[in-house]
Amino acid sequence: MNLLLKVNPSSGLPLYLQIETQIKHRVAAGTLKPDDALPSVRKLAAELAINPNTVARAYQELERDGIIRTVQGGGTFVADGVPQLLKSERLRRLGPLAAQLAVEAHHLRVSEKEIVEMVQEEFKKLGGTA
Amino acid sequence: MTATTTDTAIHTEGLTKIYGELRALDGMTLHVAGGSVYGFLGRNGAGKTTTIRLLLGLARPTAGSAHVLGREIGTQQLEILERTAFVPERKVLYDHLTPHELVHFTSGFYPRWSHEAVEKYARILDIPMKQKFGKLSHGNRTKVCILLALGQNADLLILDEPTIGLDPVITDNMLRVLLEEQASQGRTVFFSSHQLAEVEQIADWIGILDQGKLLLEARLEDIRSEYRVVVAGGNGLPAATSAQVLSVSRSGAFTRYVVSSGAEAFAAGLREHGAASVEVFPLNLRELFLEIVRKEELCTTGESGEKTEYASSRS
Amino acid sequence: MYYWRIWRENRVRFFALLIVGLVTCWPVSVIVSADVVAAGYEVGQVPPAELASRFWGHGMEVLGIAAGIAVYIVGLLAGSGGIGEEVERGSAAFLLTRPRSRGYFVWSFWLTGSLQVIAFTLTAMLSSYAVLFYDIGRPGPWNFLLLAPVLTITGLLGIGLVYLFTTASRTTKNGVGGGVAFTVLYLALGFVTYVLHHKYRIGFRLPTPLALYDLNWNAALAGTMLGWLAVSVALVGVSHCIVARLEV
Repeated sequence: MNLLLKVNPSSGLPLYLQIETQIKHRVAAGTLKPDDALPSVRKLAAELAINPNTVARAYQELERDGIIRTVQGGGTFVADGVPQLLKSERLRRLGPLAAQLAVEAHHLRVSEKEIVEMVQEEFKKLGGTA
Repeated sequence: MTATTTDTAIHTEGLTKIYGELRALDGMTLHVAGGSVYGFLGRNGAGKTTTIRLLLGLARPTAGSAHVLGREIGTQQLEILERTAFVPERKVLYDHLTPHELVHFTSGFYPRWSHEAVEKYARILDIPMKQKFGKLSHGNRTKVCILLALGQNADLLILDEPTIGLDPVITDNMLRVLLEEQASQGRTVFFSSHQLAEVEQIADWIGILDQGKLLLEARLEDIRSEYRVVVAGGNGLPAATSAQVLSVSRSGAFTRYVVSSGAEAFAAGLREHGAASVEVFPLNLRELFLEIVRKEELCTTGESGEKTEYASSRS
Repeated sequence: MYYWRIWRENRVRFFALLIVGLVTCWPVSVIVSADVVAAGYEVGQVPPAELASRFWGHGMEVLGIAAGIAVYIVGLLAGSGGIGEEVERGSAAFLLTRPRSRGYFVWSFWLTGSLQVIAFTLTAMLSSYAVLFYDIGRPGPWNFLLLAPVLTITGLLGIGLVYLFTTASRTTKNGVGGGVAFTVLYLALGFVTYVLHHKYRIGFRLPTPLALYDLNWNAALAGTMLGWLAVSVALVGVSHCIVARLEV
């Protein structure tokens, strides 16, 4: 199955991050459901015509984050939604993003209330998975 | 036979080649990990082809050493050649032979030759096997050279400008084939190229060569994660502050830094210095290459008629 | 595999030289049958042994000259190629990155040239022996066989010379041109020193391979043969040294 991901090698952004982000986004939005099959590293790399080591790294990171799982004997699937990390770790990961948001809001003179509204809007778009 | 990814495929140590007055290579040290795709970049005349010639025994170094697949160049050259496939820059073979005959000719040198691979790739790359080589277009000639390299079942592929002069479709096919070989067989691919977009697509590592010296050797994903352009508006901003700053240029009220790591902290530091605005941008390979290699910036005048300076420190 | 390619490139020339080898017997036949007729016999009739031996001697002389010149030219042509030609063509970077030593390419090429020279020699000798036997009616002397090594060595000298010039100049034109020019000059010098030495007792005679065509078996001839064989191989040896150090 062709995931129809889109990566841009010339954007200056890590390819593995681009892949990770897109898969995370789809899982969050529900277009990739738990136990859906993902293409193997080689197949996805061939599809995107990029280096398989890049895809392998993306899959590694996704598996470490508990978003996908690999089965003994081959096959990669979307994990069943229960995150493997402690809540404290999960919160810690989002810390820098929150900090960046606050700093940028300050510089751009956007109020805290407006920021909260923007974040709520994004959650709505995803379908409200908390 | 697959190469293990922990082996070093190519390692040079202070490799030097001098032609009379010209230092074609000047103490060049590079590492290519087994199983990786390494893009070897540099301007015309930087020394890329010279490096490749030295690795393959077509020329001898003036100083320094190199090991290919664990064997020393020169003394163990034949062992290297048994396991290394090469596509030269000038795609010249024998005009009176057809690709079919060229395969027959080349296969005789290699006991590990794979006829299945040749059949498969001849089909995938759509090569006219029965036309005389001299009558083929440049694109087809390049494909034939690559086909001969793939049939060898080599542990290492060395390609000098493999996609030069090829149309986008052939280029895409070629890159996919190279990736396929690397992925499925664990072969190492070492190629020199000017086509930075293609390098960005398939390379794990890149090395930038300029005037015979290797200026930078890094993982492409690290470059994408860590290297940033930081543009700060304001006056009296510092010049090169630390080793992470690769270059600084000024134009009017703006100062542009290229940093190799810690961009966020650096940006925060600039804000503390009183910068009115600080923006951080990613850097693609073309931009990085130009930064590293270009020695002089063209004169740009800002409001104050200030000339752009260019200071660089290598990290 | 290198042999296969050289064969593919030279097979037309190979068959051409076989034909030339066969044709060499024609001037031999014409001249000797004229001798036979002039002596009052018919072609194929068995003349007295002493006369037959003189006719055989004359036939071998003609063969020596005709085949000698022809085999030398075969050698000159056969020697034009190898690594020097590959550099000229631009395919040296490909060939020299195959897993074979530089020496392999030099001596393999030499071997194919030698085989061409030997094939020519045997063809010329067999056909000439056949026509002489037909014309004279008696078998020839044992030293007819000496033409085999003599002609071969002549051919090998041609190969060695042109191969060296081709390798050193990296062009085939200069290779053959150089070989021809060198031959002419050397023979001219040989002639001049011969005249000076014999007539005016000045200096020494420059040795030339023409001494091989003496065809009287003795130790001196054996020495001369080995000497010129060594020269032909040494020429290739020098080419080997050039190719071993060559940077492409």
